[in-house]
Amino acid sequence: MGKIYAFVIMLPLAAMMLLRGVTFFEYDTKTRYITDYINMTAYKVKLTGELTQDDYNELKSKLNTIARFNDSGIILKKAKYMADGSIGNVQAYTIGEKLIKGDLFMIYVKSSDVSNFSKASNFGVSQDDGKNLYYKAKAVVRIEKYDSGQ
Amino acid sequence: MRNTIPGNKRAVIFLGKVILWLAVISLIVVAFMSGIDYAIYSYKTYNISRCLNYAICAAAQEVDTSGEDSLSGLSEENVESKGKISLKKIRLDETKAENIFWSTLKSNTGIEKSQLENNCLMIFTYDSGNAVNYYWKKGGVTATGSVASANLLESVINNAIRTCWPQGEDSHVIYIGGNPKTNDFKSRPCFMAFVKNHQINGLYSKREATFVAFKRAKLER
Repeated sequence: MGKIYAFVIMLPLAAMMLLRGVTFFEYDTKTRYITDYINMTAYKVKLTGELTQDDYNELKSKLNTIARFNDSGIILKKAKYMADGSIGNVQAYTIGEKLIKGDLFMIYVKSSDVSNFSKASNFGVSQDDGKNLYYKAKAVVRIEKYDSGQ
Repeated sequence: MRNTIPGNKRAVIFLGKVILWLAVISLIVVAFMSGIDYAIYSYKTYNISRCLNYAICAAAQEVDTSGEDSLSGLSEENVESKGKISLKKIRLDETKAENIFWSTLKSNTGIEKSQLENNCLMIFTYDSGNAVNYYWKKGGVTATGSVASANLLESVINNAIRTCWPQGEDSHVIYIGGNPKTNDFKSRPCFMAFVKNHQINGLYSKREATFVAFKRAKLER
């Protein structure tokens, strides 16, 4: 009886816990990698004032080694600081556009795939998208590159 | 073989097995939950540290272009006797730099100024020509002063930390360089943020973390 009890209730429970734990660590590790990639790209733009097509392609290919990211999931924006120090005048950033010192560059990424952790928690992809957890990261940096020609 | 164990003993054995399994399951759960809890904490600290760097880099660009000190400093482009670019008498616009610091931090992490300002010591320094002037603030507490050379700022910063967190058992000491030549606080204006005992919530635990961010202004005319 004890063995039946163990196999029917305890082992599935342990397996479920194990699966959720493992998928969480997978989610955590992948998020850290994505954050690092975003960080590197943002830092490059901070110093150079520009996101080139090559840089963008490199970022996209790196992100796609972790999860599926399409162009609509990589959002690029530019903005300016207002007189009171707040962020305003947010506009779409075009790849290759040169930003000047003091401008803001923003990058947001969100995967097309729902994370495995979310699937393990919701027993699959939830119909309510608010319950689904995607791989996401963002960075907002101020351009440091000074272009004396501008 | 015939089972000779009496019924009440079998019940005890069964109960023992259940308890043993429950203990094993609990151990697995606790191990995983602790791991997850720490992973959340470590990711949050990493993210705040990264974003503090973004915020301070953004804020350190706010050179004061209206004050008398800065205007005279910016107008003296070169030190003629040495052939160097002069960086003295230029200061940051502290109010605007602070606002930019908070808005950048918020856009990166979602942390509001009100959540962090009582745990954040901000230090602004600039070279006035004869001395290095400093201004620090934490919440409503502020102080200004000057020291003869930049290497003396180390004691100013550490005194400010002791003033702001007098009861701190886990005292932190900031080192800013081994000697005046290697000192990070040089003639150019600097901005430093020291965040102490910021509470970070994990899955179930609450830990405190300390961060330091520092940036020297990049000056172009």
